[in-house]
Amino acid sequence: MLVPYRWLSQYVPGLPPPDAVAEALTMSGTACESITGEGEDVVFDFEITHDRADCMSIFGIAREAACVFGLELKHPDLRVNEEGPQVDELASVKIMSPDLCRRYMARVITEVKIGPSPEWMQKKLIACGIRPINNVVDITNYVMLELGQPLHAFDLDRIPDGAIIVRRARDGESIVTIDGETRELSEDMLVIADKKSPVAIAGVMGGESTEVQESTTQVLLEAATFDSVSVWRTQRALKMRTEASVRFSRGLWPENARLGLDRAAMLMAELKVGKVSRGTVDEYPGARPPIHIRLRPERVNRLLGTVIPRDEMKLILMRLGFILNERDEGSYRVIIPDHRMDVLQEEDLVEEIARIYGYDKIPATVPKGAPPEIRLNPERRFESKVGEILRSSGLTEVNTMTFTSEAVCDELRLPSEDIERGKVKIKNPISSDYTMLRTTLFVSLVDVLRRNASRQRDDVAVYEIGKVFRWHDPDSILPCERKMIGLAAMGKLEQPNWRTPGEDVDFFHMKGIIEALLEGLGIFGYSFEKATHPTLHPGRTAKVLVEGEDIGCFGQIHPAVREALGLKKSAYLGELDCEKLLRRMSQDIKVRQLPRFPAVTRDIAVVVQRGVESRRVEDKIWEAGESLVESVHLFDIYEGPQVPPDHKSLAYSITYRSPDRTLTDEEVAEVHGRIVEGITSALGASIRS
Amino acid sequence: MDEKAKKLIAEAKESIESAMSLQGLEEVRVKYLGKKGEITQALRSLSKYPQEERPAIGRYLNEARETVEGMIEKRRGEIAAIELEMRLKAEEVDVTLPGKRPSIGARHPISVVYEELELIFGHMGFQVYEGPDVELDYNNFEALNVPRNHPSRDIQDTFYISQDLVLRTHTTCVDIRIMKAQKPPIRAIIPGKVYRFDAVDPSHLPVFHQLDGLVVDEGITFGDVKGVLARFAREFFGPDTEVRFRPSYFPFTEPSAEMDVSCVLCHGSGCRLCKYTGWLEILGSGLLHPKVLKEVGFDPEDVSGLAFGMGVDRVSVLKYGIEDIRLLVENDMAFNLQFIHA
Repeated sequence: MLVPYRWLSQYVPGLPPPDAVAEALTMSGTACESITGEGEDVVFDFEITHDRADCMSIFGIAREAACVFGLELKHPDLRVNEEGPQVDELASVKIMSPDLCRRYMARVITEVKIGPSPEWMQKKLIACGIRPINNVVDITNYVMLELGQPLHAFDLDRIPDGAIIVRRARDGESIVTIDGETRELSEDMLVIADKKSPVAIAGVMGGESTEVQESTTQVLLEAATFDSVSVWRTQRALKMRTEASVRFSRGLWPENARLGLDRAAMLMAELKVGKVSRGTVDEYPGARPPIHIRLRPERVNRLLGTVIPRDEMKLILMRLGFILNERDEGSYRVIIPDHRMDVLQEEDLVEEIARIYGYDKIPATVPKGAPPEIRLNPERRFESKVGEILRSSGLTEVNTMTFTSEAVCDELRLPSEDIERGKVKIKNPISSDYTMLRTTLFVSLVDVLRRNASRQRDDVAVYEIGKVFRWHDPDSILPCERKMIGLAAMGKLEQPNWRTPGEDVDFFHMKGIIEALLEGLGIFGYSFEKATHPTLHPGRTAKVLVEGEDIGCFGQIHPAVREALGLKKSAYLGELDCEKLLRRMSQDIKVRQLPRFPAVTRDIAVVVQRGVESRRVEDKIWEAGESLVESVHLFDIYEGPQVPPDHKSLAYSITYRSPDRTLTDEEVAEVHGRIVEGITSALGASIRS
Repeated sequence: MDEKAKKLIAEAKESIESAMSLQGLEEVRVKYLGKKGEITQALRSLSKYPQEERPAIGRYLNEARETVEGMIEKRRGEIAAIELEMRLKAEEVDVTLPGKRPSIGARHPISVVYEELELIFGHMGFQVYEGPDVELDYNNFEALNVPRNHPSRDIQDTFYISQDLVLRTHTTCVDIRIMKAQKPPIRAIIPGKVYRFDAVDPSHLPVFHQLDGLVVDEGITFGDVKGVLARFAREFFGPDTEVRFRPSYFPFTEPSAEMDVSCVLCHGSGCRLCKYTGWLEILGSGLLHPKVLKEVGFDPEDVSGLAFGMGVDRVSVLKYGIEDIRLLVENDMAFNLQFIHA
């Protein structure tokens, strides 16, 4: 909110220089965002916190400044020079919806001569960012800025019989507002109406039909207290935020209507805009007794951690306009002035005392009680370990937004029936790119690949630990949120070097990264199975199983998807479920005895049909070799003239060792023979010599 | 005979000394000491000499053999040293050629900052809790003293999933979950993604990160808010960091305070980053509002609580001098890889 220093100082004689004002108000809760201009022409921009409706005016800020500096506050002149007929003869007001209008006051100005407002007034309006229009409108705006009370001026001659009715709009009613727009109204909106139809949207904007014009001779001035929630809803429904609606939405107090109306009337008379008729229309169905709160100075100190004397507390509150009465047990009964609608309980008074006393004077302490017993959060530990392992495999961590869109899901060929069932959709998306929450990290990771590729970086290897969202159970209140580990790689994993040209990432790189991750987490009982995923290459996709449970999948991006994404190099994606991995993660280590007897290594080349999975050969080796096989290592795969067509040769190096003796050649030959026998009979394989 | 032997030794010596490789030396050895070598042959043909001369010649030849063997051994050592030297010379590398390094990935600055924050607050006895991103309107707003259909909702523009579900606008909603599940003393920090209805621009993201903190116990004071947060600021931004607390407004705290730290760039003298104020706004804090305490079943006369919340993206931006907040979600490797040593 813009506040010219010169205007402010009119209410606080002796106001210190602008810098001091900005600093003191900032430190007492009215933050000065910026200062523009020089010397006396300085204009502050204050950020008023949402609870302080009373500070939404020059006078409101002056009240704060006077209190902070201990200076006298000068009130605006409210003495109205009334003349002519009684207002009752000219206008009447009827409130039909007292729940939405606590007070409605009006005065009438007769013999109005529309013209420009005086230069001093125009200057002030311009300094506050408001365009001068004519003397009547300018006075209403001036008073709104000065006192925070929005006013409205109607052309009284265009309101039949001067009869104002404050009521809810009827469904189907509409009004043309002064900006020329037609507004459709609904039953929950409050309007000011004549006997037939609305002439203003209460607290938001006036209607064109009763707007003050060159020809206007009689003006009805409105100063009302409309319900803040109602005005807020109406301004939202109609998407029209005005200076008035912003102030009403924060809340206004009935007394301010009187101040605002009298101040405007006084200016109308003084600036010879017209004659202010006698008396005021005042419909006040919402009068309430003032709020009072018990204040225990001892509790103030207990909550703040201070030893502020009670007299100092009293002084601070009195300067802020609170009225204090002594009560027994050393407490006070504090009467809340009606402009302080934000003060509702003792804690609010604690803040009032603290902010004027000075937050900086409150000693910094640490909580006295013993902290609760700490348990390391297992999820955070897991995540940090996962990151460590993946980074050591060369993957860089990324951070993506959890949003996605139908278009990206389509690009990834995610089936639409899944979209219908699975997606958590945003009712009010900010853009068509962010219409729902992701169901897979793939949508975010391909975005990372695509962005980097578009910036000439085709070698990318990344991971993210992030959430995916789905409605698994249509009856649950909240969607299911799962944390996943996402992996994506494209191009070379290692930078090409003068020694090695570097290879492009392939299926087995990805698989190796996952294997290293699993083992680094202490998960050894894993296996891989051929699988399918709509985004991935049907022949190059695997699911990861741990003790038979499906914990995720990985594979090459389907060539059609890659093309759609515009990626030059082939890329790989993977996704693993954090919770399932965390459940199996083990950091328990029981050291095994080191081998005491020598190992013997024998190689074997097995020729099988091309379609036979290597795992079946390996399983046979372990099975036939029983406990003497220590490790099985596939060191070569061969397809070509040396083996029959549609066959492959798998060359294994098998290490034999016994924990309790040195194996003899005969023993090794025997077990090796059993393995050969096992493989050939079960898999129809032959052994290449 | 003497002459002949002497000549033999002299010849051998010369051959040994002129041998330049182990192989050449071996040839010399074979020539003199091999099965058919000259000295070996001479020793074998001792019988050709008269009986009385044999011992002297034999002794002499044996000495000659030992001498030659000795000379060969010595020469072998010399040649080995030379050959080693030559090999080492040949194996010399250009130490300025690039190394073949294993590739290592970088962490994202957000998780670097989170880890540091969790460490700092962990040392003060805070435990990490998490909660769902899609949250009940009740936990995100109503229980935190922001009623439904209330103008105070304007403070935080919100994404809605349904009438009752929002994308949480702060992780403060987890405070409610924690307090409903546990009795004081509570010291919790809550990291997580949060959402606000903001378009992407250089200083706004609709999805960003927060760290919220919560302490509930008997006798928690506003002084504790200052103490805990000042300690965090010094540990995170450096021991010379100054802090100031300004009155502010949050629906769920009373009194409320905004904490500023002395500008990380100009240290208070005023610059573009701090808009020439010398201060940077870092976090919101305060004592838990009595309505919030009552809502979770605590009596504000018995216990009090403090709460704070900071934007982790903002803190990262300040710590690392990131000019455009979008870099945090773009994941351009040219950016992310700058954090290899973070």
